[in-house]
Amino acid sequence: MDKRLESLKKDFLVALAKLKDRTQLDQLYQNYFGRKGVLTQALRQVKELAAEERPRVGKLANEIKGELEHVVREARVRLGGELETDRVAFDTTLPGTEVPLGHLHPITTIQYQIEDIAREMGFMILDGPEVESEYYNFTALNIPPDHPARDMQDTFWLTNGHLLRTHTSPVQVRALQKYGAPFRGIVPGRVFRYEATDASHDHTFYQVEGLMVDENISIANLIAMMKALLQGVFQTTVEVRLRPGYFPFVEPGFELDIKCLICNGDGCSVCKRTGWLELMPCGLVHPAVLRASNVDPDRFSGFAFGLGLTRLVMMKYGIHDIRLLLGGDIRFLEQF
Amino acid sequence: MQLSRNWIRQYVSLLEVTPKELALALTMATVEVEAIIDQAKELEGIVVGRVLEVVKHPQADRLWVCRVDIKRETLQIICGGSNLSKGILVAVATVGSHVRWHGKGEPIALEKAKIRGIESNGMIAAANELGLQRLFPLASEHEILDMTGYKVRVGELLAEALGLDDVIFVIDNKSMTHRPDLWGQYGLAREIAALYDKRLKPLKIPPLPKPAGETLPLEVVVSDPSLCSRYAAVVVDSLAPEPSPFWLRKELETLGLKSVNSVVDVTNYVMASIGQPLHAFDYDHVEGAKIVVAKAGKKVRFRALNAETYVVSEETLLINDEKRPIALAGIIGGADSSIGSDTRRIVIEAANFNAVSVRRTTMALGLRTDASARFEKQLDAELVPQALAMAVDLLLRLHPSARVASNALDVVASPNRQMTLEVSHDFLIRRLGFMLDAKTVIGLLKRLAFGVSHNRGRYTITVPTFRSRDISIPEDIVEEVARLHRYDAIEPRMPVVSVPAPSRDARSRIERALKCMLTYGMGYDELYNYSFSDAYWSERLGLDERIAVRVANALASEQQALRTTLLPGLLHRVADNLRWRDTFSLFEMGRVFFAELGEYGVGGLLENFLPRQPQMVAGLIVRQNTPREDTELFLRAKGHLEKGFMQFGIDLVFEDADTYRFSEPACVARINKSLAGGFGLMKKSVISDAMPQAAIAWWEFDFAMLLKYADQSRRYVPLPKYPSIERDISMIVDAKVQWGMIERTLHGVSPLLKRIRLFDVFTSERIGKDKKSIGFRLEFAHDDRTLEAKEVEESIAKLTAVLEKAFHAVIR
Repeated sequence: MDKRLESLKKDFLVALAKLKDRTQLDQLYQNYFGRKGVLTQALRQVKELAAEERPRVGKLANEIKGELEHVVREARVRLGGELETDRVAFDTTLPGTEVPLGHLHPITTIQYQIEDIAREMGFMILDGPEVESEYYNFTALNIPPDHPARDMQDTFWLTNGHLLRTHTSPVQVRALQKYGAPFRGIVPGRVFRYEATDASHDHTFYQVEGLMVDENISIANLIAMMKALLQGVFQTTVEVRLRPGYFPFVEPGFELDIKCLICNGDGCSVCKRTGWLELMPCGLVHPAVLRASNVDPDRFSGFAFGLGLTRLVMMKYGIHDIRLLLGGDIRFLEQF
Repeated sequence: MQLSRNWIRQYVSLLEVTPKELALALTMATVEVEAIIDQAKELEGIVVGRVLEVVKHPQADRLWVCRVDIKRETLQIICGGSNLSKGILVAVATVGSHVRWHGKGEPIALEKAKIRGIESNGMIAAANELGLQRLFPLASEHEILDMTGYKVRVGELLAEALGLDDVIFVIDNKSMTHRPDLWGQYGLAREIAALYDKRLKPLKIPPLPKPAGETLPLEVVVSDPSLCSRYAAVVVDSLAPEPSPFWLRKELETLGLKSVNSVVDVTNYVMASIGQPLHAFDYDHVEGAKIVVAKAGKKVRFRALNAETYVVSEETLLINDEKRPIALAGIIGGADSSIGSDTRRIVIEAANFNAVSVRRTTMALGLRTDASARFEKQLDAELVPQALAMAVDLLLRLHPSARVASNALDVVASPNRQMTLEVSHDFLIRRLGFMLDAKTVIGLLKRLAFGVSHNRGRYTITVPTFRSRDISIPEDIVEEVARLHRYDAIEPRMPVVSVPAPSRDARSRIERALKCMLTYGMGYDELYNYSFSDAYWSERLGLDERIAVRVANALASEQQALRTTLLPGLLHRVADNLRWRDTFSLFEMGRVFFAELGEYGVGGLLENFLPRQPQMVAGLIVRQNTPREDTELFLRAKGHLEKGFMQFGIDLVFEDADTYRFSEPACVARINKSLAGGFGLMKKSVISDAMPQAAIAWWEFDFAMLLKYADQSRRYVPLPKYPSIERDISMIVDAKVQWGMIERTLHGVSPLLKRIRLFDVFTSERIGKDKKSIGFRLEFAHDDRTLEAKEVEESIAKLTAVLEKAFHAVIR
């Protein structure tokens, strides 16, 4: 049997060497490898061998078969022409198969980006109630009843005396009450303002609240952390500046501007020719807020910030009408 | 709030500071400057001209062809002014200057034009076309600005001729909510002097003159010292209100106020200058010449000088005469005692009212005035005598015949207290985050008029009375030092803190895994809807509105209540989107709200809870204009729920339910017997009005249930060591027999049966009415050895026997 196989191989190689064109090769291949080909028949006979011989000869037969198939492939390349299976006219420009993928809302996408950056900086991700009490939304944040700052946030009041939260800041107090200090966390969430809707104002929008409380947190720390966070968000170096801003739950309070990323500070229509974009209010947490949160203001200090998530989404994607975000138009949603 | 550069310059030398620099300095250290208005620049190219000739336009009835002398040339101008006449002085907008067309919109550049065939080189302007209508009110629509009688010369620039050369800074009021001292020009001048470390010239106010001639009686009683800490008043006699002189009208205009008459204008001018509101009463309408500052005590009707009648509560602080209220303290005066053309004697009031009291009244009445905006920020009571003296001085100057006719009364009901703060240097540095020596700190604070002494690392700081409202704790001093030192000079420095243990905020991680699975795995688009209920769809779904939380001050009718389910909002969006797409899936994750109480506390001293507001997740699978595929849709929704929860290690148990009136069929999904959510098909009767061709499957569940039961401790099951054997069974049963029953029955019959998988259900005439054919595959295996065919056949025999017995199944 061994000899038979070896001679088949030799004969095949001799015949192969004489071939002139592809047709002859196909014929030779058929004679050896076809259903009634000599090699095919020889391989069948291996199965009839005695059991002790079978493994060894079988292995040899397969080796020879593999070797010959290899030289046939080489010969095919040498002689040109197509493989049998390749002979289909193929239009590679046809569209790929439709995959029924859905789309995350752009607010979700940017929110997740911010969450990832915040997590890297050791912040936890929290949420809080949207129907909020007057106490958490105002009083605990150092905005007592009859404080003029209550006007700064037009409020949807509910018939049960509660309200739709006007900012994510109430979660500052809720989180500190629950987790204590030191603390680092962000709260992305939906907020509400009682105001008429137009292309740049909606009564419902999203913020990301941030809070860090530890020993000896300073203004210099706030600037450094905000800069790092925003560099993560914008994936580029950003220049920030602080200026005074009045929010009763921080002292001192700031408006944080970033150097306009469109014109690099030269002044353009986006930054209203000032070179700077107002991005987020922030400040050192007011001791009254820490006290309301059961945190000792003599031992701990902290900073808080409120990033306008909706505005950031609009900036990042160039969305000019805020109403698209909660408008649910599938042609809009599919773009993200 | 408007800041006048000319006003400020009288008190601070700012020669070298450009308007842009000043605006930036204020923005960076004090308040936000929103805009700079350069009056002269706005009036560039507008000159004084004299009309030499007025001839009727040959092609138009109401137009005139004028020749106007502007000194350097004579212009031909077409004009429609109703008050044109030869010889008058007018404001000529030359070609290239900017005017507001008919007084409206943004200023546009003027070009040479042909009007009905005749050339016009410029324009004879009306006051509103130049933005000067408040200074020169129009008597009629077609009136041009007639400057005859003003001290102006032909050819002169109008801005120079009228002294309109100020630069106005528009300040964002919100940024000075906490700084009552900045609500007047002098306060801003003081702040600017501090920023630039310049000397602030003192206000020059002559002392109140003693009464001259006959003394008129006046009595002031303050019966509630906590609501009115100081009240000063004086009578001025022999004056008649008249139009204010041009300089005063111009000043008021610059400061953003409207001119009324010479008496009212004086009170407003003093308010704008030093921030202290005043009020003038007609002395002859103050009954008994007596002023009583007191709470109303009962509900009172009050007719104000704005011609409105208000009903005020018993807590409202009123200014009364002997008989009735004559003013709402700090807000508005009464109609009866207001200054009219027949007024000859007045009482001028300067007072300090309690901020909370003023604010409560303005909120209750929905009435805000320039005065109340200042009082509700709690003014410095020291302003009271200054304001009164300044007003009287101005009145006497404007009305030469006038005289002070009473002693000035100044009732100090509760004296101003000087406040001091103790702040340690160490605290200051720790909050600032950078080094600053004590000398610098003291220098910065002194610039802001704080009294400072320093001893062994502690500052004793005396707060000036005009800052007592916003400076009360050491943190306020941190702000003062930092902002005057300049925020942009602070070097960023990363905090030095200990590394916290990783947080266990599983909620956000699971939320993200879920949303990604729904979108990228199951093909849903995520949308966000408003939190309000959708009236139409809530009604269609037959939702119980009584369990909803209701809004007290809804902006629109669709905001009356908060949503109790996400489905109505989603359906609304489906109806919109069917215009663009036939096949799509949408999901939303968001809170819904119920009147019943939930888990969040209301805080403070109350042991109460907020309305329950679970985070729900809901989805809709939508098909339009496709052959009926209800089963497919239903099973798809079920599959998404089932497989989605399985991904988090949760086995849902489904039961038929009739709780969803809008759905047929419908099921609830339970975890460990607790309700987690539901799913089903929307009834055609519910959706067909809005969406006649649509079929919609829905699901909704409570995210908290997923979060609660999500199994983070999954362990792997060893792969089978021995091959399994599969057998298919096909059988006919009664159409009413449910697969779930069959499946449950089969489980437990044979320990070798590892898996059952349904692959076919069909009905046909051939099988018979009320019958169905079911095909399923059974997988048998043994954990410890290879199965023998005999064992499998035995199991099958057992199983078929059970099926035949339990369901009268006919095995095929």
